[in-house]
Amino acid sequence: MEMVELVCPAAEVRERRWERALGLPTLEGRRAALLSNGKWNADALLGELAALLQRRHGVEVSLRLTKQRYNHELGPDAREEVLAAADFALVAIGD
Amino acid sequence: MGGATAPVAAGGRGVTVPTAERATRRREPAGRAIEVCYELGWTDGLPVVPPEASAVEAMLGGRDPLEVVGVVPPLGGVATMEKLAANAVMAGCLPEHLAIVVAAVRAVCAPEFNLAGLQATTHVAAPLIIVSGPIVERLGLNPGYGTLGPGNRGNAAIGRALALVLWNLGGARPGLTDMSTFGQPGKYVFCMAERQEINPWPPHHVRRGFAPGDSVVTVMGCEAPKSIVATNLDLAILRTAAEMMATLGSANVHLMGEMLLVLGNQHARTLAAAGWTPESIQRHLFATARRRVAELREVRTYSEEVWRRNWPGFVTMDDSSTVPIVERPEDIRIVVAGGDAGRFSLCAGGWGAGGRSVAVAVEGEGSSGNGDG
Repeated sequence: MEMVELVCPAAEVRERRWERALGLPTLEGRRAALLSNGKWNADALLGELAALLQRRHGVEVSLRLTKQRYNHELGPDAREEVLAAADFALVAIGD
Repeated sequence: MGGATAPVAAGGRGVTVPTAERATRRREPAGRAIEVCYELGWTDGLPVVPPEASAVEAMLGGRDPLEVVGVVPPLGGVATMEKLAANAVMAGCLPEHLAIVVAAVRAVCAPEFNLAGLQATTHVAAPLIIVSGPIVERLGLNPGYGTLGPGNRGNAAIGRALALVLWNLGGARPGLTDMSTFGQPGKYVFCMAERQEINPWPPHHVRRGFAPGDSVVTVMGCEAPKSIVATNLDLAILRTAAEMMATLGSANVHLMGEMLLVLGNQHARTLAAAGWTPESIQRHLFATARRRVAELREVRTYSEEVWRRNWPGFVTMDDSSTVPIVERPEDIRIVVAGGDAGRFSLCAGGWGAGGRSVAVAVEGEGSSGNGDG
């Protein structure tokens, strides 16, 4: 049987081990950053979630960042702002 | 971050990450090679030329197989020259087409193109390749009748190669990573050439800052082109084009971005004879291709907050204020192409302000390598 050698055109990948972010032991009284992509449905979900967390766990929304454009990155300083102002961050997807 | 108690440790997990290594090879029965390409997910549904090692080597033509051209989102596959050659073989490219494919990949991997967004958006946009300069004639690309249609190996294979790169290295998968609600035929092949022989003005790439002798690939994320039929009177052409561009369903009037205008031969000649230049056409369309704020409020496609963030500062939020289709006249990109017959031109909206078109000189073709990108 005639054989051919094919060159893989797809991405070459390697297994790598990642450590997940450390979780908070409790949400009680924590500060949340809301990261909005500026889309209506996503913002609705984000707002509802924030309200729910406030009612159930006393979570305070300490920071709200909105993308200038929803298909762009949030901005170079966003990470530092979140680290300084909040204990955790929330994002939402809704189109 | 603050916190009264210690954080909870979470376990690690294995993930796969793309690397810039030599491509893996596999031996398969020759008679099954096309089916193997399907089974391995190397094709988007159309049959491909199996990327046999000898053909990939010939495509490379002595180039360094590990030269990295870019990283292709959202998967992040590393576009080594060898990977691009393999995809070019599958698309049916000839070795002389590879430099155009490489330039197209460099363009889409430029940060300002925002390929991560374009590959993942729910919008219908796809990257359109526009080839301009002497290479169009030298390689026999088709800038004339049916430049966006079938019939020319170069147009078809170059466009197909970029689509396969986005599939194989970018990991575009409908409903998983490519969330385009409908997709569009341009996601299979979307490549045209500028027809300089009938262009009454300097070519597109020169207006972007390249030298006339350069051959340049411009890639723009855009909607499927819309036909503009208009009688050969200059103001009729521009009025009709403005109407086509400023539709309520286009992302442009809501989010700006860019607009492509492909003028056919008859329209280009008519406009040039009446004294119009690409720059004056841009200014005229910027002023006339508009919608009133009141009309946009009726359809409420986006929130007022989104509009404020995207519209030029001169647009007031009064109902009577008018909104252009782009932020600046030069964001209306003008190309001349197509056949001699027909009172037609085309326009294609961008995908909002998600990304910008990028122009890259084809290596070894011309001298400047400059341009506005």
